[in-house]
Amino acid sequence: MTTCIMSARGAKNENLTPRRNRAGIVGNITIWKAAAVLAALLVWQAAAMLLDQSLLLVSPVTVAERLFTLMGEAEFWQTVAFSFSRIVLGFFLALILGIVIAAAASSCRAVEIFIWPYIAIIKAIPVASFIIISLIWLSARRISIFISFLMVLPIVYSNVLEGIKSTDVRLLEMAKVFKMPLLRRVAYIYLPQLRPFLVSACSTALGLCWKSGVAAEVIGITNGSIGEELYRAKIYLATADLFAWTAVIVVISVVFEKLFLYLLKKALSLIK
Amino acid sequence: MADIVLKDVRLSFGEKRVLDGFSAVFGEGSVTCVMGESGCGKTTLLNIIMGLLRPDSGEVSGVPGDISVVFQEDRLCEDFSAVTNVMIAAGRAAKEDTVREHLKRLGLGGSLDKPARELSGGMKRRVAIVRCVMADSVLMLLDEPFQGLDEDNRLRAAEYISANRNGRTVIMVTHDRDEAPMLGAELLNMQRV
Repeated sequence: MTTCIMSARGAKNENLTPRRNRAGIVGNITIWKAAAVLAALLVWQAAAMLLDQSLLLVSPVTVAERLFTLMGEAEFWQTVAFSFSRIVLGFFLALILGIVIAAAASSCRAVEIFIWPYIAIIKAIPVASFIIISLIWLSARRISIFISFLMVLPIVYSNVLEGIKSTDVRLLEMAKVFKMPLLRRVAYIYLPQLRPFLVSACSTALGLCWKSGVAAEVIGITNGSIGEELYRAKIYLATADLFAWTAVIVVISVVFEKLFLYLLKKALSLIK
Repeated sequence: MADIVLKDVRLSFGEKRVLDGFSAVFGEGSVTCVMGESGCGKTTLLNIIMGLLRPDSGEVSGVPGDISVVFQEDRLCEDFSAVTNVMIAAGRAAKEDTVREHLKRLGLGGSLDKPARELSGGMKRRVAIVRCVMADSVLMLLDEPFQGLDEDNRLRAAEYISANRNGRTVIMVTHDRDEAPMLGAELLNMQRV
């Protein structure tokens, strides 16, 4: 697993430059992106029609039909809720613990060195190995919590630690001389500095926690989970179901990421 | 508060000796203007007094716990307004209305709620001055406090500091000889080592 430390400072909202972005792109970039998605769907539909073997490649129309059928069943929503609650719980636990240990590591070099082997091991070991080891330790119902937690923790820890380390020393000296209380230092000096690092970490981690969490459910054949539905689709060669459930994962992952990042940015901007 | 006494203070950065046996007494409630050419250790002296640097040898005594500073760089929290920057450093006693009133006195009435990053260099300097004056302190350290200010604002800021000093000890660092009389300060010349 590769942990990304990205500074979001350089990232610009492409939507803010509607006139000309790069060569050949004129107008609103969102419209271009929507057109690109539509084109990809058309390519998919054409490929499915040319191949004409629904076992190998179902068309997007078939997937949409299957998805709407599934959405009409109560069991579908129970399955979504089951996986969502566990994967998101793992994410939040890792987010909180990652911030806490990054804060501890930034204030004490010994803590950073002590934590280093654990983080290095989590980063280096393949997620599949962790899933199999976890199946020995935990019940299948809890495995997605643990795996999404493990995948998110090093990303949050590394980014937050990097953010804290890059805090302007001159501002910290100012706070020290003026005897600013800790909470005020956190709110007015650390958080503005941490904001791009935290947003970047959450953005990367949210995608990864869904991928790894569902993978854990597939390997662990967790009863009542999205992973189990994917496993069943494979066993029964139900390609439409496989694509439909994959679409569900993508949609939930993207919607939750957008919503969470919006709320996070909103919360961080509340400090005046 | 007692006098601030520095006795035979020495400090080097690597091979470069910045202070070599520096001694001075800053009387309680006095206003002192430390002058000297660039690189003679004026800012280093302030950093030692505020505890950000520790001398290699020598004694520093009588430094009070409550210090406020105008740093050479403004050191404002760039994402936050002028009012917030003063409020977060001024302590619990400072009321927002009073902070706004003080900022207005230095001509910042139109920029009270703008983020610091949107203020000009001179405006930031004046916010830093108000922050220093309004902080609950018994010692004010001013490192080139009027740099970047035009003549009118320089005079206005000096009058503001004098009017709100309230008997506090002031140590101002500058290389401009004309700035000492503006605060009615005693002169202390530092020589480059």
